[in-house]
Amino acid sequence: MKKKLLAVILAAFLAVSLAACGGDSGGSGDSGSKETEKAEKAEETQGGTQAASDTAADPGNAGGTIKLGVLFPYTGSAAAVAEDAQKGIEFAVDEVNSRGGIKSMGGAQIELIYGDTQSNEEAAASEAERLISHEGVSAILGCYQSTVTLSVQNICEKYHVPLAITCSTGDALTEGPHPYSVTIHEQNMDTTKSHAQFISDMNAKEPGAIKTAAILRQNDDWGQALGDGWQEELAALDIEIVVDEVFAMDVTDLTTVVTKLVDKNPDVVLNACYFQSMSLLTQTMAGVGYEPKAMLCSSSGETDNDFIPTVGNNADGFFTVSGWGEDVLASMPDKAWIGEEYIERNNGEHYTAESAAGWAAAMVICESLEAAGSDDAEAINTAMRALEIPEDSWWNIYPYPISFNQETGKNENAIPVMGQFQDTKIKLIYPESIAVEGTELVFPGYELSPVYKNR
Amino acid sequence: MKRLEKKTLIKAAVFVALAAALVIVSQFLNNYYLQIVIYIFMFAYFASSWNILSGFAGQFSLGHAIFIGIGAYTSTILYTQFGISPWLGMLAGGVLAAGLGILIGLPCFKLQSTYFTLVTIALANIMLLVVQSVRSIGSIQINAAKGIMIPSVEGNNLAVMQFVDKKYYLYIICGLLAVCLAVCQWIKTSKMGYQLAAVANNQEAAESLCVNSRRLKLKAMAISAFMCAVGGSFYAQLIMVCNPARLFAEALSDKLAIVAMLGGKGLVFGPLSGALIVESISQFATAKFANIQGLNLAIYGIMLIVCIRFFPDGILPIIQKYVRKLFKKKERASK
Repeated sequence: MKKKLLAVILAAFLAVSLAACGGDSGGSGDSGSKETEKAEKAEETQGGTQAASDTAADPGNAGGTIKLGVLFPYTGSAAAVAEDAQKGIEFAVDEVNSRGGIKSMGGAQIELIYGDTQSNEEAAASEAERLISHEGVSAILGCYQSTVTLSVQNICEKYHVPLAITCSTGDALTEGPHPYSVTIHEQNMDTTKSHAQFISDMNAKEPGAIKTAAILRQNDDWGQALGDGWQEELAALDIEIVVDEVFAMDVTDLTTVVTKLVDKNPDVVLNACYFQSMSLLTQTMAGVGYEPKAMLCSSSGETDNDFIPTVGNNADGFFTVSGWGEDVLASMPDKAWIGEEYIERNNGEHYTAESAAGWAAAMVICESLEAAGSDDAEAINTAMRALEIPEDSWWNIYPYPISFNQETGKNENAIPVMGQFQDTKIKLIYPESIAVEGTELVFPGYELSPVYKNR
Repeated sequence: MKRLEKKTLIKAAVFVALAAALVIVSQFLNNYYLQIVIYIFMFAYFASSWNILSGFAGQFSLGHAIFIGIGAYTSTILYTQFGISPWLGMLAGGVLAAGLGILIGLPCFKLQSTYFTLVTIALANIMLLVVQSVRSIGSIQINAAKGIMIPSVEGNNLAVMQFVDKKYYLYIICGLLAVCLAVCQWIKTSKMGYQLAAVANNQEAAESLCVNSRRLKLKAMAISAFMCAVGGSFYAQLIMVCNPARLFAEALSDKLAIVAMLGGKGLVFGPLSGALIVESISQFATAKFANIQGLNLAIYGIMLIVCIRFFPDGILPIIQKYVRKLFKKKERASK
């Protein structure tokens, strides 16, 4: 009897699931027919049959709602990053909506539709299909892991829907022609170049300070790309790599790696670690009392909001190359309100590089909508590629202008900034042009570390 | 004889009707729904392939992602680096995976079931780490953790198995699934199937009746690995990227086992029923609760717990039981 009841409940749930999945497409009134129309338009576009006139600006959605797709890994170990990026996107959209929406479209409001990539390509592709064919979004923002973003980039190119790449730094995303996607912040090659420039500058200040290096990285595409870049750059600087270690994303013990570091004692440690391994590495290093002259991180685990609460002062002295840091706002007094309001909205949580990437990507799409005056994907894409956002634009929180290479979609103005953990806060110190007044680089970094202080 | 012919005719008619229904329905679904149906059938196919070794032969594997990965990588490398059509790459991947399956089986089938399972988990993890670390084998580029991208071509191209219109992927996976189910049905009702069932239930007793258990299990492993690899090639063509972290992942191996066990392990149509349940729940939960962290997986997990707790033999046996009861009632009523 029990089994019968459960079978009925299960069957009912499945029926509801399937009905709910389908429910949206048959939505009532305008929105339902509009979605169908958009899906049809997208399918026509793929077949290359769309007439040129379709791409002309059509303010038909005046005063209505424009749907944007947001694709991030909301489940799994990368969920914290997704949450930060989402907060940035929501903040930007609320800001645009509260300022009267998209004015060229009669004040149309932006609505965000979410999709979970689950950190895998298959789910990401499926969600991108859903957002485009079923929800009828005009553009997509996302997706963090570069290989996942690549599969979404493929889908967007097939449907001719613009993609504002957010928090993905894989170089493959901007190699070759990518007519329907843009990157706003730095890519991996910019990060490795920035590290190399930093090492070179430090050697110029203190000749011979950095002669040996260690590379520690995750065994995924991001870690591999950074590892390859570092090897190339360090070889050019004639710096010997004495440790080159790769570990799994879910590594639970880094004692062997740290023992190797202690043994070889490299001058600089370059690392590409997500939150879990970054925290583990920091704590293990502090545990054995090891600190290199400079610990160069790559804007991942160490910029997570939970990193400092986890490791406390143990990260003091570490350097982080980042697409953005909260101090950037300190060098832009007229935009300080953006950081303040973000903290207020998010119960005291601070802006991260991911939130900044989300904010900027959403703003780029909104600017494109404004310029296109239409929610047609082709028109938005054309407008997006022609954007020229100056450094002093009211919303541009990056220390560089935003414009895109017409072939690859890369923002070639993007430069990573470099910060140093000083008393549990990231202080931007490099390049010197963005350093906040009164902030100084403490080099070698270990002078800040608790281990050094206790000597 | 006449009865048998009638049965065959009915089966053929049902098959033709299903194929026709599929073609008609696919015309009315948008690409998103087609994608969901494709995933359902793809996981039904993978789980059915897994079922040959783990369901029929009782050798519980949690490392079948190895074969999926090999199939995906073989066809992708052959296509991207040698210009060979994925259709041929699919077969090459299948043969390679079958060979590897036999190599794995030769020493491992000496182990009792639990130990065999542990070895498959270990092998899958080793394979993942190897593929994530190897950049090239001679002139063949593996690209380590970066994986391999499949360059996309415009429009619908049958020769390179790339389609803008998803319904073609649906037709291919349906064809593969039909072949797989036919093979499963053939194994189940053949001498091999009965021998495999005997080995799965009590290996010593089966061997005492002159059943060569090792050879049988190797056969089952080869067929299962071949089919998984063929599906792996299809998978790579569908998502257009070979990412080792996904293709050789433990999570993928586990999913095959979950799908087959939920539907009914050891039953020909069990994995198909399981895939219908698992993928529907998974897709629904993802679509509806994407931005509430973890809720989609929590719903998915709860449903799995309910199924495993109350239907340990799978959903299909329960459905079959009720269908039989219904028919009996009708028969009685007609009498």
